[in-house]
This record gives sequence, C-alpha cells and structure tokens, in this order.
Amino acid sequence: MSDSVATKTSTSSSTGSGGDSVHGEQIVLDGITKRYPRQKTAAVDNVSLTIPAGETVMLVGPSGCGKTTTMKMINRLIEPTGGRILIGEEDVTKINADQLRRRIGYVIQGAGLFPHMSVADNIALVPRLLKWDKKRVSDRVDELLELVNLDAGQYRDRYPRELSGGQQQRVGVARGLAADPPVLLMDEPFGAVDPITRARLQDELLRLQDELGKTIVFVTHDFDEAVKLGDRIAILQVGSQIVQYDTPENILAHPADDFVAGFVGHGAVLKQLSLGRVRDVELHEAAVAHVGGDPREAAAKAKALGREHVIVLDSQDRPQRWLSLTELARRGALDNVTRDRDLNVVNTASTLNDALESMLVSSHGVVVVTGRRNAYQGVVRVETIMAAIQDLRSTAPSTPEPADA
Amino acid sequence: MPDTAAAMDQPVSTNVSTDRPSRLRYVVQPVLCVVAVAAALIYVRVADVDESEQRSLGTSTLLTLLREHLVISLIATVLVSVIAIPLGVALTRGSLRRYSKPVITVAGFGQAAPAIGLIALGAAIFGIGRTGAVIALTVYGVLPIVANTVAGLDGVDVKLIEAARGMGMSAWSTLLRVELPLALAVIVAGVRTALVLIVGTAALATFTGAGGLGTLITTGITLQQNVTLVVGAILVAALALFIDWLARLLELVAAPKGV
Repeated sequence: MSDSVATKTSTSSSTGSGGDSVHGEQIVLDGITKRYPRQKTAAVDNVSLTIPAGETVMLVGPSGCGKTTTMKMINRLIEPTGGRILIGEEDVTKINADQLRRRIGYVIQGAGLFPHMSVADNIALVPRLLKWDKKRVSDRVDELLELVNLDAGQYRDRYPRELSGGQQQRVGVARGLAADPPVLLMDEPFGAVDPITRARLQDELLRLQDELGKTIVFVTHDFDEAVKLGDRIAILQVGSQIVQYDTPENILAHPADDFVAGFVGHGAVLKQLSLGRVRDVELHEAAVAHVGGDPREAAAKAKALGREHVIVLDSQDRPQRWLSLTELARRGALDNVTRDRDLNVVNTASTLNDALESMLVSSHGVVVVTGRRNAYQGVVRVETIMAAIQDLRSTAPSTPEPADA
Repeated sequence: MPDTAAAMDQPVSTNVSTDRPSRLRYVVQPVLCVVAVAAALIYVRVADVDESEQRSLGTSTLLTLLREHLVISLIATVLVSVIAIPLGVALTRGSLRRYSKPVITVAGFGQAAPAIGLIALGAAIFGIGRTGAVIALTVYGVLPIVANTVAGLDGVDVKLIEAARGMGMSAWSTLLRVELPLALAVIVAGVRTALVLIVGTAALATFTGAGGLGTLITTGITLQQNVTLVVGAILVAALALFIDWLARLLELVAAPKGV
C-alpha cells in the first residue's frame, strides 16, 4: 500500500490499466477537531473514522453539520486544530500541504473548471505541477477524456463555457483523476446538474470506480445518492458527530436512532431496490452482429436463437444499435451502422432500478449491458429484474448480515 | 462575469468601467479623431493667421509638443501601473485585505483633488519641469488602477481559487495562473482609464514648464491667438480619444480566451 505504487502505475498505457486491483489507500481520521477562534463549539469535534482502501465512503448530513469541513481537512484546505490524519501509513497533518494535495484528487460542485483554460489545460494542471513530460501529459489527457466518455478530438481544445453542465462535471472528474491519485475527494460534485444528468453521472462514477478502485470520500446531503454510490455511509450530526457508519444495507435495515431513521426517510424497502446492481443478476445472450460483418450469417444466428432483433457492435464491442431481421435482409445492412443516440444501455454497475427504467422506455423488453470500456456484456430481461425485486422484497425487512457490497 | 460586474458597483469606482462598447465605436472613434485633426490643420491653412501664430502652429512645433505630451503621459502610466497593480494585488492578500478600503479611499483623494493643484504641488516639491509633472500625474492615476485591480481580483470566483489550491497549486501560482488572468480584463480597463485621464490631464503640465500640447492652449490664451487655442484644444481631445481607442483595442487582444 505504498503511495508510490498508486501514483506511478497505470499512467500512459492507454488500455488495460484496469483490473480489480485496488489502487486506493486507507484513510484514517484520528480524533480530528476543528475549532475556530472566538467560537464556543467546535465545527468538527474529535471525529475518528477509518476509510478502507478502495472504498467509496459517503459523508451525509444536514447542512452545517461539518461534513464539508471534515472532508477539507483531509487535503488540508482547512487545517485541523487537533488530531491526526493518516493516508496509507503516513501522517499527512505535518507534511507540505501543496505536495499533499497533488496526491489527492479534488472534485467540487459545478466542476470549478478554470474558464480561461481549455479542457485539456484544465485536466493537465496537476500532471504539469508534477512536471510530467509533454507527451505523457497529452496522452493522459486523451486517456482521461475517453475514460469519462468525452471524445478527445472533439473536446480537448474547447473552453469550459462551450460545454454543458454535465460535460463540465465530467471534465471536473477527469481533472481530479489526472495524476492517478490514490484518494479522491468529491464535494457534492453532482449537486448542480439536472436529475437526469445527475443519474447518468452517478452511473459513470460507479463504472469508473469499478475500474479504478480509488478511495473516495464523497460529501452529499442527498441520502438516495449516498445509498446508490456508497460502499459505506457515515451519517453526521452537528459537530460532525458520526451517528452511524455502516453499509447502506445495514443503515436502511437498522437505522441507529430516530435521527438516522428520519434521514433515511420513508420507503426504505423501496430504496433497497437501488442497492441491487446489474452485475448481481443473470445476464442473457442477445443475437450479436458486428459492423462490417455478414448480415445473412447474423440473421441466421438470430433465427437459431429465436430472436427478432440483433444488437450490432463496433470493432471494440461497443453496442451501436438494434437491427430487426427485416432491416438485416437489406444488402450491406452491416456496412455502415452508426450509433443510435437513443440506444438504452446500462452498465454492470448500474442499479436494477435504472435497468428497469431503461426497459420501460425501450420497446425491447431487454436492455443492453456494457462493462469495462463500454464493451457489450449481455442483456438483462424484464423477468430477471422482476425476480430480483421479489427477492429483495422478501429478504429486506430482516437482513441480519447482508452480503458485503 | 456577473461577479465582476457586481464587484464594480462600488461608489468609489465611478470611473471604473469594463463596458464592452459596440463594434461601431471601434470604427467611429478613430475616424472622428482623424477628421478632427485634419479639420484643425485645414483650419490653420485657411484661417487668417499672422506670422507668430503660424510659427506656434508649425508642423515641427506640433510634433515636438505631441512628443513631449506622449512622453510625460506614458512615463506616468508605466510608473503608476508598476506601483498600483502590485499594490492592488497586495491589498487582496491575507492580512492586508483589511487595508483595501482605507487605501482606496486615500487614493480617491488624489482623484478628488483638482488636477491643476496636484501638478502645482508636484512642481513645488520636485521643481519646475518634467519630473514634477510626471509624479503628479502618477498620483492622479493611482486610484483607477488600484480600485480595478482590487475589484478584478475580488471578482474571481472563490470556488475557482479553492479548486486551484485544492489541486495543489501554490498561493503564488494560483495568483499568476488563475486570479490575474481572470481579473486581467478589469485590471487592463483600469489602466486604460488611468492612461486616458493622464493624457487629458497632461495638458495642464505646461503650467509647470513640462511642455506638451497644453502649451498651445496657454499660448493661445496669453497671446490671444484664438486659432492656436482652438487647435490646441482639438488636438488634446483627439489625442485622448485616440489613446482610448488604442487601449480598447489592446484590451480586446489581451482578453483571455474562453472568458
């Protein structure tokens, strides 16, 4: 768990840097306190918290509870007045703050992109501070843009004001990840975008985290977001007092007290549905064809499987669009297949709720599932989702020891 | 940048402006200057002027006066920029921030004092001639630049500064690479305001023997040469307008992309 491993591996190699390996480092808050001069009560009072390597921990609480203060003490934008913070094995409360921050990704609400710098310059900031050479920096920028699903050629030289809010936030995430830091701090990053974009960004964060395995500290006031994204949730009260620190499943099933119960709100059982992930259910095989393949062969395969539609993939196995058998019968049907902008796709890390929603919009009764690098994995059927929901419902009220997420 | 606009609504900075003039202004303003100067010169040829008046309006005299005027103005502008921009930056840093209001107020005195008084004072302290005039003009130009530097830097979104620091940029590098570029338009507008003020006020420098186009006006008054007086007045006004136009062009070129 040495920090040099995490900061120096997987940099310029554009593919295959994933894997299930954990790149993050453990963070330990040991009795940290923030007391402002001339204030009676401490803003953050003697908080201790261990954040396991590679996990996403959500700090949730009402406004003014000190959750943001707590987070900003990790990168020392706010200097603690007491206690220690360990990242990995190292006590970071005494080292140079600027050096420390270059090892910690920082993503804020509204992205906070510098308007006078291009997208590429924004992303390249920390790598340049770390004095990477030019080639490595520009390769890394392109790699990160692809990682957050923005076309590098199209967006690299744009200025932030030329992007939508969601795109800006993607660039913000890319910038936070630029130097491949083991730890990522996210301060209500998706608070300023519309609900649909927010859900999409959340899905992408789940997918990214699946690939990258960072240690993420995520501040939000939205409990649903915490349930969706968190491996663990810390529910905070005034003074940053931790009322409950547990997995979402356990907090939903066994809120520690009335405060937590109030925060969890109604419909705790329904909320558990968004705990189910696509990767936890059985995927089915669809009839598959590749761009540039032989349409007759594809049609024959589909008929053999008893399907009316085939899903067309590009050379990198990314789903492009559904074609019906009639469409396939046309000559050269697979020669020039463009991506269907309305194609509904979910990720293996998406929640079952999202999968169900996508199905309701599409006319296929199934939804395509993609995995790493948006490559095709299979399809989920509506029956599968219904079965999973039944399952969750019957087990939800009494979960003594839910499976670790 | 709405933040900047809001920050600029301070009563102290009435002559602080970042107004984006219409494109027409970029064309009309210089044309007006050229027409005014040409008209003045034609007037000299046509009007009934005696020999001494012709001498004071000769091309070589005009060019000398113009050169004197520009040299005084430019030295004062450079000096005031070198002094006032760092001062404005310092007034937005940490513990010095609380002095920004008092300093801007004191700088306002320089502005409120009659220009002729300042120039006389400069001559009284530093002697007759160019030095005194330049120093007086420098004092005169401090306010718009300090005020605009402070307003420009205060107008930078604190979230961006925090993002920069949070990513590991030092305070110095945040100032150079984030705050100053984003405040540049407002700061340059302040420099332009100061420059135009100084070019206009430099017409008074002639009273303390520093020369400049104002000499035409004083000569015109003392010798009752109306043509000289009118030509002098037109040239001073046209020069100020022309410099303003030039500075606005520079502002356009200097503006960071993407903002």
